[in-house]
Amino acid sequence: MGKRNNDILQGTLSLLVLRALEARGTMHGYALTSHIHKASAELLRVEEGSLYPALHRMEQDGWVRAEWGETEKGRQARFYSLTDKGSKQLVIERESWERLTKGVSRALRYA
Amino acid sequence: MAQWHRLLNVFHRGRVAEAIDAELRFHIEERVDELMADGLGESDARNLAARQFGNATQYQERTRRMNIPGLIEDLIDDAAYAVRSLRRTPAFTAAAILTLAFGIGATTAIYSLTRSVWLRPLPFTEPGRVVRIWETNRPLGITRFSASVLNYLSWCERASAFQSLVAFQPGSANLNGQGDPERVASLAVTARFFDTLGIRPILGRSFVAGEDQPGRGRVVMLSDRLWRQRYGADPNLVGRSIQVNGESRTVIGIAPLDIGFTADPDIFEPLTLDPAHENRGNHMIEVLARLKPGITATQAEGDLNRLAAQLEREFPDSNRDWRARMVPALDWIVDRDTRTALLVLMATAGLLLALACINVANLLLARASSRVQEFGVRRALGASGLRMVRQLITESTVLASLGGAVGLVVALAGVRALRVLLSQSVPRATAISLDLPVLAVAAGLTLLTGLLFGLAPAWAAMRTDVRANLQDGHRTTAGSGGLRLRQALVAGEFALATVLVAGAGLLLASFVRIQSVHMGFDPRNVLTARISLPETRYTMATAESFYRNLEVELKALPGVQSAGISSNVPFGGGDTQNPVFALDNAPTDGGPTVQASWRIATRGYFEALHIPLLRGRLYRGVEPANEYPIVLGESLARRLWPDGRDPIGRTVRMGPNRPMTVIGVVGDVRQLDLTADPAPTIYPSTSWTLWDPMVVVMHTAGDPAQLASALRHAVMKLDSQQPIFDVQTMDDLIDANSSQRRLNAFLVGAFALLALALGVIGIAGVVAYLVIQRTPEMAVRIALGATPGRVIRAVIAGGLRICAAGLAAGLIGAYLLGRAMAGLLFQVRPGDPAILGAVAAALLAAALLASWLPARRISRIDPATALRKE
Repeated sequence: MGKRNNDILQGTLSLLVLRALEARGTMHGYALTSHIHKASAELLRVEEGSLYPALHRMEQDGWVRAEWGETEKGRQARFYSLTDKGSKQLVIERESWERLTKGVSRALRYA
Repeated sequence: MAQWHRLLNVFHRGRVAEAIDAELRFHIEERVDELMADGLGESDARNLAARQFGNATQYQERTRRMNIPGLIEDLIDDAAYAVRSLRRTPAFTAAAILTLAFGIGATTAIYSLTRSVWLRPLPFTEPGRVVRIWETNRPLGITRFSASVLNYLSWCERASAFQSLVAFQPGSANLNGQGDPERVASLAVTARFFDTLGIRPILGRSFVAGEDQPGRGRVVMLSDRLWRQRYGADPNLVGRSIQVNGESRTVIGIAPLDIGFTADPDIFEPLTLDPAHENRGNHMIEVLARLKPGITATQAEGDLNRLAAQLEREFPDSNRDWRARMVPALDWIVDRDTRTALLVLMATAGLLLALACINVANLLLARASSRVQEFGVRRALGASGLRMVRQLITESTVLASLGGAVGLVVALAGVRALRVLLSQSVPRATAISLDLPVLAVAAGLTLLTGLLFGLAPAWAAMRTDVRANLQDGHRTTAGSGGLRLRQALVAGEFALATVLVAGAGLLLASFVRIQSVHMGFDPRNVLTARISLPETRYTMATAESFYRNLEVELKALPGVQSAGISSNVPFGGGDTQNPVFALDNAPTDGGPTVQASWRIATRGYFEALHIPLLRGRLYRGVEPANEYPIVLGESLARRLWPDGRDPIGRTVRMGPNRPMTVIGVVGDVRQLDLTADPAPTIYPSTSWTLWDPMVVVMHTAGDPAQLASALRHAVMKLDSQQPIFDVQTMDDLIDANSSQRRLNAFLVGAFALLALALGVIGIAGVVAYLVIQRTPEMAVRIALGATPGRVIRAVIAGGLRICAAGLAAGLIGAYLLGRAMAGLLFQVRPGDPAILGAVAAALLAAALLASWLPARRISRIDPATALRKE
C-alpha cells in the first residue's frame, strides 16, 4: 500500500493543532481534524491515530488545557484550548517552520 | 506538574481508560454523523468511520501509554523482552554475569574481612583508652619485650596516667576428671583483667580482687567454646569444681567467645604474682592498661618512661636501659603486617571490581555494535528513542540483578572460605560476616556501569540516520568514537590486569624465595611432640631421668634415625630470651651483653635436626653437675667475642645464673620467622635445667607422621598416665609459619588470574569486532592480491598495540603497588626487572593469543561473497 501524499509531516502536527486552537479558541478533537482539513484546502488530513496521542502529550506538556463539555448536539466531548505556554510554543514552532520552508524552497530553486 | 498528573492517573486507571474510550467514541460518532449527512446509511457510515479511524484499540493503547499504568505494563513487557534477548546471546550473558559476580563477590568478601578484623571496634568499653605496654631495651636491640613482674608491680603502684593496669600470660593446662583428659590453652590473668577491659562474662562472674593472691587461685573461668564442647553448655557448671592440672578448681564464670585479641584460650585462671619469689630481670608477663580519661597515649608513655628511668636508678643491676613502649590495643592486635596484607587485598579487590566494570562496559559496547542494526530497524518501524532507551535500561538492570545475585553467592562462599582459612592466623577472623553496605556499593557500581554503557546502542541508533543504518547492513558501526572508546577500555583493562598479575608475581617470587631460605637445620622427616610432666608427680630429678630414658627409648624405635629433647623447636611458637655476656669480656670491661634466645637441648636434638657442630663438642649423655657446660650458636659467639677469639673453654653468664663453660659452637638456626635473620641462641643442657613443656624431636627414615603412635607408646611405657600433645611434623610447623604469606600469594594470584582472563576476553572481543568491521576492506585487499597472512598480521598488530599501551601504564602501577606492599616482599625488589619482564612477556603472549584467535577468521574470508554484500 502506497503512502498517501497528504500525510502530515512528523513534527508539524503540534504546530497545526496549536495554530488551530489559536485561531478558533476551544475545540474538541473531531473539530480539530475537520478544521485542519478545511483550513488546508483539503490538502492535509490529520490521522486520528496521531492526533489523540499528540493531544495528550501536549496536555501533559502544558501547552493545551482539556475539559469535558457538551457539544451543540448534546454529546459529551473533550474540549481543548490553548494555554500561555502553548502560545509561546506556537511562536517557536512557527518560526522554525518558516525557516525550514524558506530554506527548502530556496534549495529547490537554486540547487 | 505533568508528572504529578501522570501519577494521579495511577489511582484512576479505570477512569482514564474510560475517558479515553469516551473521547474516541465521540470522535467516531461525529464522523458517522458527517458521513450520514453526506448521504450514507447508518451502518455503512459506521463501517467507514471505523475503517478510517483504523484500529481504535491500538490508538487507545498509544494514548494511554502516556500514563503510568501503561508504563508499568511496558516495564513488564520490557523485562520479558530483555530476558528473551539475553537468552539469545548466552555467551555474552554468561560472561557479563560472571564478570559482575566475581567483581561484586570478591570485593564484598575482602571488605567484609577488613571490617571484621580491623575496623570493627574491640569488644572493650571505650576501646580507645586501652593500651598495650612492652618493655624495651635499645642497647640490646629489643623493641618489644614482656614485662618483669616487679617492674609491673612498680608501675601499678607509682604510674599516675592509668586508671588500671592488668597482666596476662598465655600457657596451657591439662583437664582431667570427668571425660577424657584434655590439653587446653589457658590464659592466666590478674584479677582486674575482665573489669578493666570491660569484658562481661556470659554466665557467672569474673575474678575479684584478691583471687590472684598467692594461695587463693582455686578458681577458673571457661571459654564459651570449651563450655559448649566439653560440658554441653550446662548452666549449672558455674559453682561446681573441675580438675585442672590434677587440682580441684571452682568454675566461677563463662567468658564470651570474643575477647578481642585472641580466640585461643579455653580456660582463664588467676595470674598469681608473688613479689617474694620474683627477680626484676625476669621478663615474663604481658601488660595491658586503661588510660585515665583525658590522658593521651603519648602523655602516658612519657609518664611511664620517667618512672622507668627512676627504676633504673633504684635497680641498676636489673633495669639498665630498660624503658617502656605503649601502643593502642588495636595497633597491637592488628599489627602492621596484617594491615599491609589487608590493604593489599583491598587494593587488589578494588582493582578487580574496576576491571569487572570495564569488562561489562566492553561487553555491552560489543553487543551494542552488533545491535545498531536491530535498533535502526525498530526506530524505522516507529519505536521512539525514549522507548528504546527504556528497553535498554531494563535489559541492563536485569543483567545487573542477575550478576548481583550470583555475586551474593560468591561473596557468601568467599566469606565462609576466609573464615576457615584465616581463623588460625588472623586475629578476629572467626567473626567475619557478610558486609551488606559493601555488597550494596559494589552492586551499585556495577549496575551504574551497566546502565551507562547499556545505553550505547540507543545512543548510536539515535545519532545515526535510520536509512543509512539499514542500507549499511552488517557493516554498521557505532561510529569510530565507539571503537576508540572500546580500545581505551581494553587498554585500561590490560593496565589493571598488569598491575594485578605483577603484584601476584612479586608475592609469589617472595614466597618461593622464602621456601628456599637457608634455615640452618633440615626440616625433612622430622616429627615433634610436646610433653608436660605435672609438678604433682615429678620432681626435677625424676623429670630429668624420664626425659633421658625417653630419648633412649625413642632412638631404639625402628625407623628412627636420631631423637632428642628440647625446650622448643624452630617455628614451635613462642620464644624464651635472656641477656648473655662473657666473663672474660664482661659489660663492666666494655664487653657486650647480648640478648639471646635460649633453648634447652640434648645432643640428640642437634642430631635430629642436622644442626651442624662447628667447633668443640656437643653434650654427652650426662654432664658432670658441677661444670655447667654450654653450647652456643655461631652468631652469639661472634657477638660475645667480636675480636674472633676461640670461644671454647671460655666462661659466659646467662642472666642471674651460674657461670658456664663453652664446650661447643653450632650453626645458626632460624627459630621464629623464615624471613628474620637467625637470632643469637644459647643451648643449656637438660642435665641441669628443664622447662615445661619439653619437646620431643625425631628424625625418621620414612614418613615421620607414621611414627606418632610409636612415640605415644614409648611415652606410655615410661609413664602410663602421661599424654603427649601438639604432635606435628617439622614441615607442618614451617607451613603454618608461612601460611599467611601463602594465603596472600594465593588470593592475589587468584585475583590476578581472574583479571588476566577478563583482559583476554576484552582484547579478543575488540579484535573480533575489528575483524567484522574491516571484513569488506580485507576482502578488497585480498582481491587485490594481499595474502591473508599479511592482513591477519596487521589486525593482530592492532590488537597488540592496544595491549602494549595498557601494559606500559600497568607496569608503572605494578611498581607503585610493589612499593606499597614492600613489607610483604622477601628478597624481592618492587621493580624487580626479571619478574616484571616475565609478567610483561606473559601478558603479551596472552594478548597475542587473544588477538590471533579471532583474527584467524580473516583467512576464511571469500572476497567475492564479502564484496557482494557491499
